[in-house]
Amino acid sequence: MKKSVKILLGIVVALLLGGVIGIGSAVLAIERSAVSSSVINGPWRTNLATGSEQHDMYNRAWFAIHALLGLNQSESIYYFAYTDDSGERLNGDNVYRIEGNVPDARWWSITVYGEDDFLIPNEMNCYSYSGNSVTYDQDGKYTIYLSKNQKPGDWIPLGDQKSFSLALRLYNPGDSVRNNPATVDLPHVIEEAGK
Amino acid sequence: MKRWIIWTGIGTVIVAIVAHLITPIIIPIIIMNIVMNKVPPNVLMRATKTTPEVRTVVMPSADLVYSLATYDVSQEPVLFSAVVPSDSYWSMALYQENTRNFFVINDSQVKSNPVKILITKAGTQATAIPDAENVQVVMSPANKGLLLIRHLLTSDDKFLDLIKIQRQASLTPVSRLRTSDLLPECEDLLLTDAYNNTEYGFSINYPKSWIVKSPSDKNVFVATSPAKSKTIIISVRDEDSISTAINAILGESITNIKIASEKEVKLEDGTMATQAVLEFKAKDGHMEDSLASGIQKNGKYIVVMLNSVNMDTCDEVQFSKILQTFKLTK
Repeated sequence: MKKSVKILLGIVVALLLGGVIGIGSAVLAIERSAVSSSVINGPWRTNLATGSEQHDMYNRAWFAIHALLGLNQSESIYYFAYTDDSGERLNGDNVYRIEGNVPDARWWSITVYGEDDFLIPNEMNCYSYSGNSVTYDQDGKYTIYLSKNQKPGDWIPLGDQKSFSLALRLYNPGDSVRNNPATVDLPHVIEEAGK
Repeated sequence: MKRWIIWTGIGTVIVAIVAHLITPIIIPIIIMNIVMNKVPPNVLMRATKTTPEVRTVVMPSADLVYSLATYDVSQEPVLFSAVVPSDSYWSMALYQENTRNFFVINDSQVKSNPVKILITKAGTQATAIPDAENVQVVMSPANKGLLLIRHLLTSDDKFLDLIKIQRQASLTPVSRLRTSDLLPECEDLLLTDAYNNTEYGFSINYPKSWIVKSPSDKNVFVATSPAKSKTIIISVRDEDSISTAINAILGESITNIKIASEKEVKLEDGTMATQAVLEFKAKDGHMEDSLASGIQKNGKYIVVMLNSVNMDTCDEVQFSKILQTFKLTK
């Protein structure tokens, strides 16, 4: 083989192989960063550097892909859940019960997102519950059901999603959340028997 | 052969390291630029209630109603002005091109209502503006960025009130501000260019700086403002009311057309026209407003329509002036 052809072939191989390895490993690092640099609280995880200068480059990329335009933690803390309390991936074929107390924040909401990170279309036009719309029991607790088939009470339909995620938004969070994000009382996500 | 393998291996490692480092840096910039290019500079785009159709930004909150703008301070500072609701959460946040949220203010932190915030490029000299004591100055680290307003919708019956508040927000370059009240100075009111339609027999003037586009379907004339935030459409339709004519024009690409009001007006040459104010939802879920007038001639409606991403009083003045140049020519 001619020397010039060998050099050209070497450059092409280096660019293609290096590009695939470099971009592939970066994508893996971005997805892993969501877990590795997060504060974990039950099934929920949050990154307290959201929107700030302290966000590292992998985290910044993860938020750009999955949760663009987040506010910094002085204004809002975002918790995400991709699993239930037992650590199992949230599955659109299952029935879940979210149980919680009023969080220490000026305003809060729990929203369900489909696999594409957008709201799940449904005939009820119901995508979330918030401090304004959820039903509290006598003890100040609430229960929200997530399932394909209708459930009595507060219910968010899962449509035809195979998997889904949850976002818990705490706007103007209180000190108990800001100082103890890993231990503060957050809602439980429990898989129910049956469909 | 051995040397070739070694050098190719070294090259592969170098390319892999560079690609690995560049990818996470460039992803936020690409995504932010995609969003920024969807919104004309210094124009607030009002989103409607958040539904699965609203797909400008991932993971939108279903409980918030957003307004989004790309601010551009490369030429001069811009003044953000907004009415802040007294009974529910509201915030305005500014984002750098790399997604950093470098400024946020909420309803409990504003010092005046309406709140006025001057966004200026860091490192530039302070701009003298009237009423300075009520204007907060924010330095933008770059020429461009995103501005996002969040309005909490506490219940569906408050949506109309929320829209009224949403409409009162504006983003205006300082050279366009009236010194008396810091409201936008209306521009493009000199209607020197004329469109003549010999087939249906009418003429109308439009702003010189506007760009004439090729009309589609039954539209006969289309022109957009330089910032692409406003469009004039003139269409001739076989309909028996302005409502059905408007639906026929917009209905092909747009949903949720709501005609807010209709009235009869007399144009300068004595021609009677029906004028309507309408609101509709564009494909990506953001709201647009329209002013439309229909002139009946030979059993057809000649509809003149001004669509705007964020209709303000200047748009109303401009539409009225455009309409007054309408003349039947045969």
